[in-house]
Amino acid sequence: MKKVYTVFTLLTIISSITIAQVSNYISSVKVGDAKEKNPITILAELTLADNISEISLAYKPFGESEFIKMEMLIAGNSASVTIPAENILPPYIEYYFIISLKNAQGETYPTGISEGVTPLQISVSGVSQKDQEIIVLSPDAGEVLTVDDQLISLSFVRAPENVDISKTKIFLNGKDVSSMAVVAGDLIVLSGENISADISGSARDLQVEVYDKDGNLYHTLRCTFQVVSAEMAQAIESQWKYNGSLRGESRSENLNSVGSWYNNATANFSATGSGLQLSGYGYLTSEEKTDQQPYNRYTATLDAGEWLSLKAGDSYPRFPNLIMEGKRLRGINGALNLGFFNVQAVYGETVREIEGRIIQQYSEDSVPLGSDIIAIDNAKYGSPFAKVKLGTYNRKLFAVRPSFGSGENFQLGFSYLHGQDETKSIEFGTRPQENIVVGSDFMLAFDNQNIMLTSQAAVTFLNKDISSGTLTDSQIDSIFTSDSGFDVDPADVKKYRDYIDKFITVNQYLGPWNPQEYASLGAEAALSLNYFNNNLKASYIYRGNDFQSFGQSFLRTDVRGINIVDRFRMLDNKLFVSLGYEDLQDNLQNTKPATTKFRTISASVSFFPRADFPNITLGYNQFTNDNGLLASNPLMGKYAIDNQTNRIMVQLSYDLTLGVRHSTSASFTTSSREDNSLANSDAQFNNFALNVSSFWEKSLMSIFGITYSSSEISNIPFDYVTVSVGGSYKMLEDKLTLTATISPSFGDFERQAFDFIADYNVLRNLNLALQARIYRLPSATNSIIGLITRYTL
Amino acid sequence: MKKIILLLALVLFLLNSVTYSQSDKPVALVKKVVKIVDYNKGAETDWESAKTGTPLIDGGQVKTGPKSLALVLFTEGSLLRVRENSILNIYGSKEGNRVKRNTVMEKGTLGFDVKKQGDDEFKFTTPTAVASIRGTDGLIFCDSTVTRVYLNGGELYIESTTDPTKNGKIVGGEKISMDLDGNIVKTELTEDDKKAVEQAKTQSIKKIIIKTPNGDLQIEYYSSDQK
Repeated sequence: MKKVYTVFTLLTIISSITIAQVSNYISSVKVGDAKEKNPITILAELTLADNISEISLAYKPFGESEFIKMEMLIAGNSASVTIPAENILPPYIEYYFIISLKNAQGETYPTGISEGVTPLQISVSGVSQKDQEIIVLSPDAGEVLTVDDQLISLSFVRAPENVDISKTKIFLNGKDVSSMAVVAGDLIVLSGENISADISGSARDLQVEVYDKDGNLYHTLRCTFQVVSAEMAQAIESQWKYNGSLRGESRSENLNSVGSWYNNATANFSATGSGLQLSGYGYLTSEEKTDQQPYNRYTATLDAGEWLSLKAGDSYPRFPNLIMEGKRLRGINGALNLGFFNVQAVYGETVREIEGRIIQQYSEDSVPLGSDIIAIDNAKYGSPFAKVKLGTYNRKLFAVRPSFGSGENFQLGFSYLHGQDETKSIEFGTRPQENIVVGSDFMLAFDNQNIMLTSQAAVTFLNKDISSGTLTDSQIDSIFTSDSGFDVDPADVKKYRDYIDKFITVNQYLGPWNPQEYASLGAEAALSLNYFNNNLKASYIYRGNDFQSFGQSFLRTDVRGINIVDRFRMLDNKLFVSLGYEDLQDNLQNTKPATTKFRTISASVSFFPRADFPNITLGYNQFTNDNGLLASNPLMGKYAIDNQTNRIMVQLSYDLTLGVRHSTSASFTTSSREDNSLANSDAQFNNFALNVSSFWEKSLMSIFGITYSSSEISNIPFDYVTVSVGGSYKMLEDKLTLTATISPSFGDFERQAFDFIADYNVLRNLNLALQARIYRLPSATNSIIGLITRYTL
Repeated sequence: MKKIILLLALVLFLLNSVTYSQSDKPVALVKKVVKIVDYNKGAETDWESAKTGTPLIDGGQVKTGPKSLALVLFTEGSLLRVRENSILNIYGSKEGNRVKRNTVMEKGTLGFDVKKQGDDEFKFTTPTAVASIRGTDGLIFCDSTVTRVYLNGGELYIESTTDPTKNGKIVGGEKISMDLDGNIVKTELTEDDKKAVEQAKTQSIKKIIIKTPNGDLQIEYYSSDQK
């Protein structure tokens, strides 16, 4: 099953859309075909990977108020992440990448997101009603059947009247076996004894063509399964199934005349049997350094059906998003789902300790002020103070969420998160912190989840410096003296300190300082209604300016407001009309000179005809941000925020046959920002892209792409054209695949890129690949050459 | 007396189903056969040996022998695992887009994985209870005195065949039993119960090989350690 999945994933990635834009760190992005409620894996090919410390994907479905961020898994010169199925919703998903560099700088891809550049989009097509009308009763996808048990059966019990069952064509490994099938009422049956034995091998590719009464193709279904001997089936059924792979890469990078070698190895292992699934993943790289956050990754997972899951090593736990989401944790991550009662818990480190170092020592008399000047061990170093390169504390995190209810119609959960910097983990550091988050979440659904109410709320407490520990009795006595002006009994303070100290360090750095203003409260509620092909969701969010969870690095704070999204489905999910309105504002605790209102209007029409006509998506967004201050105001003008962005997007994709099959896609995006603030950051952005993949014969396919980009940000124009031409060719009985692409860019961006991959299957389970990338820039010629070996168990 | 009333009720139900609902359109088929599985096209017709792909019509029956198993797949995709020594009566009809299914079992064990849409109906009738399933999977045991249901997911509504005022509902992770008097006992599934549900989903066949001077004799059977 795993192998089938792997092959499917590879095929999906090979046939996926490749996106290329200007970036110093990402050369291309590959995205699979996006179908509603099916997870999508996004893969970014990296250049200058050595400079990247972390890369995250920010994405949001149409009309949602904020981008959801997920840390990506970096392996060699690519980074990947899978967007969960529940967030894959029509008509499209917007996304971009956040690239954090080792020099503490960062950028986005596409570059300039914060300046108004349009994020990338993935069109998401709806699930076809026809998939539910024509049911493949047998086999299940990936099922292993014996020769005697092999059964192909299709049910038309839900098919409409205009379908002509007798016209159905069934192909097995490309061979028409329709004549062997028996039609009985709403059933078509093709059982073991009727199925021709002259199909070699065990893999079966089933394709079914369903026709209407006029003889027009109504729908096509595909499914793969395996047919094995009875002995093999018994072995598969009764024994543990193992599979795994080993991958080794050696890569040479020559960037700006600096050459570097990198080596990495990846191991995957999976064993399934007796209702259990064990899996392991390891990634070791020569880029792992003790003075940086970890690059190596390792995970061991045990799943026992749906009721137990245990992970050891690196994982990305998912709690309610106010508590923890998208954060890597190295430790233990477990979930027990008993139906009415469930519990999820994690413990481990989210940040590894990195020791700092002394730059310059100072005597007590000569020490200047500075955020990087700290007290050091005088006896050890011979001076009491030093300017240091500050280290990073080891950060440990514990979170638990007991919940009641299966989540089908009802669930009530309570979450507790505690994160703390280990003060003893490094010598040269400052301001270790501690954090507590307490929250609850609630879900209530009726009528098969057509009516759903969800809500969550959480309060955070943050101590911004626990280096001095909890206040002592004497410190409390000295602060709360009778003449201090505080009308507080020190005994009461000690009592409360002793109680709170069980959870978090109590001292003057513990916040929030203004809890009565709900500064550290996060809350949201949403109601969704799904009726009459209409999915309406209305939500309210509130996040105080001091809301902070160590389990969430990316949450937008100091914001409240409403969001309404409505998706209309028409014509058997072929036509989607989506509308969204959002009204948010900041300055909840009056910490800014003025309150900014953020209004977003979104509209989209998508047409997925599933026939001989292009898929079309039209989108419009308007973003208005205004804090009511005039730029001309001599006193407050510098704080003025007053801008509006209008964006129009058109995407087309079409598979057509002109001599041979061609898969084409075209997109056009235009965006204009009018900025009336003092910065006057007006921006214009136009992008047009056309891609054609042509399948000339079984062994040869070609690609052609052209991208035109024209932007002007703060009156600085930047225009370029990129042309991509390439192809892949299979030879030596499909054992060797050669792929080459050349992509010259002209205009303000000058680059000639050449990519070459030779992939050779030495043995059925042993594969060698040579990958070469050469980038010629006006200033230098850079190259990345790597040799990759893969061994599948 | 109750047994007589029950028997009459069942006979009337079966007659009613045969008289008014039976059609030759298959409502299900046999997906897998282990050892002895027979079927017929109605209670009054002869039993025949079932094979993979055998269509089952409205009013038809499936019978399993000792250490045997039949997987019955309904046209809407619902799957029943008829375990050893069971007789299952199958009824089905379609009203517009609404698919209605009923199965009647007097004694035996049945695993179910029901796939319903919209207003579809899927019922199990036993000597003591009528259970309506609202997705998804579980296990039913019944004899003439008691019906027990383990539900892994979804909801199940159950009412007494002798006194419809006695009824109950369970959700995934719960089990329920109902006796002839309509007495209901409802509890959470234990770990052993969950294992039983999972185990019922496996169709592993065990094989005994007897070596004789004239060759090997192989006996295949379905391993049933289900309580």
